[in-house]
Amino acid sequence: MKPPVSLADAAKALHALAPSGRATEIVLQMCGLQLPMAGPTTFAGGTEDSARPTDHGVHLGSGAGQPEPATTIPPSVRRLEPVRQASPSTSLSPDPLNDEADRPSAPPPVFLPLLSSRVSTDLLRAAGTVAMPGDHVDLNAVVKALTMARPLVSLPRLDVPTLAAGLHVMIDVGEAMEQFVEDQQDVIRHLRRAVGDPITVSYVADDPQRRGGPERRRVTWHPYVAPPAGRPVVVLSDVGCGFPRRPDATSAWLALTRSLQLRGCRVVVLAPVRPQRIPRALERGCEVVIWDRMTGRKRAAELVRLSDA
Amino acid sequence: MLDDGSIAEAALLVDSFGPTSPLVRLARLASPACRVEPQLLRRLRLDCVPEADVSVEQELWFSDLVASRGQAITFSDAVSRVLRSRLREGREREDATVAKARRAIAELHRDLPRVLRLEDELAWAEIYNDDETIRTMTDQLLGALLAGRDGLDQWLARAWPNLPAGLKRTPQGEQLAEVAAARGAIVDPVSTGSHAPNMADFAHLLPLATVLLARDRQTLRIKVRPDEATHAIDVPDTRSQLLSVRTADTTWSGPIAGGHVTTLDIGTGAVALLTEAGAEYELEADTEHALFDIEMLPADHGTSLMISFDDADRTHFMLVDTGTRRTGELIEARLRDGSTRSIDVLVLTHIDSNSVAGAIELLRNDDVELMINDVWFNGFEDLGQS
Repeated sequence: MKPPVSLADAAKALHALAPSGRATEIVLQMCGLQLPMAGPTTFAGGTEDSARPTDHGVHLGSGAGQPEPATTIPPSVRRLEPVRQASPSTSLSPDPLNDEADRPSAPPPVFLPLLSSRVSTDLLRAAGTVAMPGDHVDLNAVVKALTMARPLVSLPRLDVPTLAAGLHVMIDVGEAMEQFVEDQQDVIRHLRRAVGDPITVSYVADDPQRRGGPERRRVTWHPYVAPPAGRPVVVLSDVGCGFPRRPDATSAWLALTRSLQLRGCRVVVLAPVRPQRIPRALERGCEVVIWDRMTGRKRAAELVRLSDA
Repeated sequence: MLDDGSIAEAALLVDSFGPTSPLVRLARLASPACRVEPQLLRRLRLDCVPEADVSVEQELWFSDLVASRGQAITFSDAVSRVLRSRLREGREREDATVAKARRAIAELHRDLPRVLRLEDELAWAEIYNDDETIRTMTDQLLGALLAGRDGLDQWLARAWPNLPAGLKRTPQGEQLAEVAAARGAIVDPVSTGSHAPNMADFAHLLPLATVLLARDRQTLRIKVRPDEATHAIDVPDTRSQLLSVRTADTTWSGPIAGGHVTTLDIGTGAVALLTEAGAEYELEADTEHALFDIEMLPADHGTSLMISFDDADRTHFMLVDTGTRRTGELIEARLRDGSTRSIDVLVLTHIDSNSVAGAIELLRNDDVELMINDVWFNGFEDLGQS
C-alpha cells in the first residue's frame, strides 16, 4: 500500500526541485490549492501590517528570473519561445544602497519613559507601601486597653509604612495600550529595583476580571485570580479612558477596584491619559496617577501620605 | 493615484483636528518618517511639542489620520502628502523645531534598512527643496535596481505615491515609475510611446505580460482577443509595452499597450519580434499562404517547374517545361490521382528533348490532355499573338 503524501511533502519537493512558475501552479492545483492572484502592492499585511515595511516583501523576479505570466490562452494558440535572449545589462558595481557601508555610527537612541527615572522610583515605592504593624509597641493602644479592662491577647504595634506586603502588578495589553509596551516593561524594571521581591505580574486586556496570566501570550491566561488580601496593586492601563474611549472597559476596571478595596488591597493606577478623562467614580475607588512627565515627586509624597491614612 | 479629490478630503480631515492643535503639529513633524514607532512619537512630542500631554500620543495613534497600525503607524498617502506639504510651507517659521524632528527621525531610524532610511531622506529633501539630494538618491535607487537589490521593486511600488515630485519628473524617475507600475503601484499615465522611458536595462526585473497575435496571410495583428489569436509571446509588463517587428523589408517599433489592436503588413516571410527585455521571437514564414509556390519537378538533365498560387476560388497551376519522359509520367500520375487537379497553362519555352519530352508523354493521352487548359508554346503562332 502506498504511503500517504502530505502537503508538507509536496512543499518540500517543490522547494527542492524549484520548478518553473507554471509547473508549480500545476502541482498546487493537483493538491487542490491555487496560487493567489497578483494584485496591487499596497503593502498590505503582515507586520507590515503597518503596511509598511520591512523593505523586503515577497518578490517575483528581481534577479532570479522572471515568472511566467498568468494569462490563460486557448490551446489552439501557439505560445512562442524566444529564439534569442540578450543578457540583461546588470551592473557589476556594488549596490549603492549597501546597508553596512552606510549605517550611522552614533550610539543607539535612549529610551524615553513616560516618567523620569527618579519620579518612577519614588512613585512606585510609594505605590507599594502599606501601613503594617512594626516593631515598636503602640503604648497608647496598650494604655487604652488596660483602662477599659480589656485583656491584651497580643501587644499592639505601631503601624509603619512598609514594602513587606509585596506588590501585584496588572498590565493591560489590550489594543489601546499597544503603544505603551516598552513603558510597561520599564515600570516592571523599576519596580523590581524599588520594591524587590515579591512582585507578581498579571497580564490582562480590557476586562481584567475575565482572564489574565503571567505572560503576555494569551494562551497562558486563565480565569482571574485575585491577589492576596492586603497586597497593594499597581495597574498599568488607560482603564478605558484613553483613545478610543471604552466605557465597558472603564466599568470593568471600576468593578475590579471595588472588589480589591473590599479585600483590603490598595490600588494605584498609572494611566497615560489626560486627568479630565478619568471619571470621579474611579478616583474614589483607587489612586489614579497620570502616567506622564507632568507627574512629579510631589505626587509620590502624596501617595505615601495616603498610605498612612 | 493621489488625485485632487483625495488630497482635498485629507486636508479636511487634518483640519478637523484643529490645524494648530498639538495633535496636528505632532503629526506634521512625524510625516516625513516612513513609519512612526511609539518611541519616535514620544521623542517628537517631548522635544518638539512639549506642551502636548501623553494623551496626544494615544489620540494620534488611533486617529483617522492613520492608515495602518501595529508596531508602528503610517499615515495614509493623501494625509501624508497634506502634512508634508504643510510642514514644507511652515518650515522656515519653525526651523529649529523642524530640524529637531529631522534629527529625531534619523536617530530613531538608524537601525532600519537602508532603503527605508532613504525613504525618510527623500521626504526631507523634498521638504527642504534639496533637488541635488533627490537626484543623487534617484541614481542610487537605479544603481541598486541594476545591482539586483532584493525587494527594491516591491518597495518602489509601495513608496511611489509619496516619493518627491522632483524625482518623478526626471527620465530616471520615469524608469522607476515603470518598475513601480509593474509591481502594482498606480502611477501617472505615460504620455506617448516616443517619450516612453528606456527600460532595456530594467526590463529583466519586470513581470511578463502575454501578448496575443494573429497572423493572417500577410497581415499581423497585435493584441487580439484570445478567440482570434494564432500565437502568443511574452513582453515585459511596462505601461507602454514597446515591441519591434522586423521583416525582410521593414522594421516597425512602437507601443502596443492599451485596448486597441495594431495591424501590420508583414508579407509571407519570417518575422522577428523583439521585446524591451531583449527577447527575440520568430514567426515562421507563411508557406501555406505564399504568393507563389514554385516546385522544381525531378527532370534529370532537363527542366520542369510547377508554379502554383491561390486565389479566392482555388489553386492555379502553371507548368513550365516538362523535363524528360519520366517527368511526364510523374505529372500524369499527379493529374490522375487528383493531387494536381488541372494545369491552367502549360508553358513550353523551347524544344529541347529534356524540356518537351514530358509534354509528348502527357499529351499522348486524351483524358490527360483534357486536364491541361491552355498551352503557351515558344512558337511562331503564340509569339505572333503576343
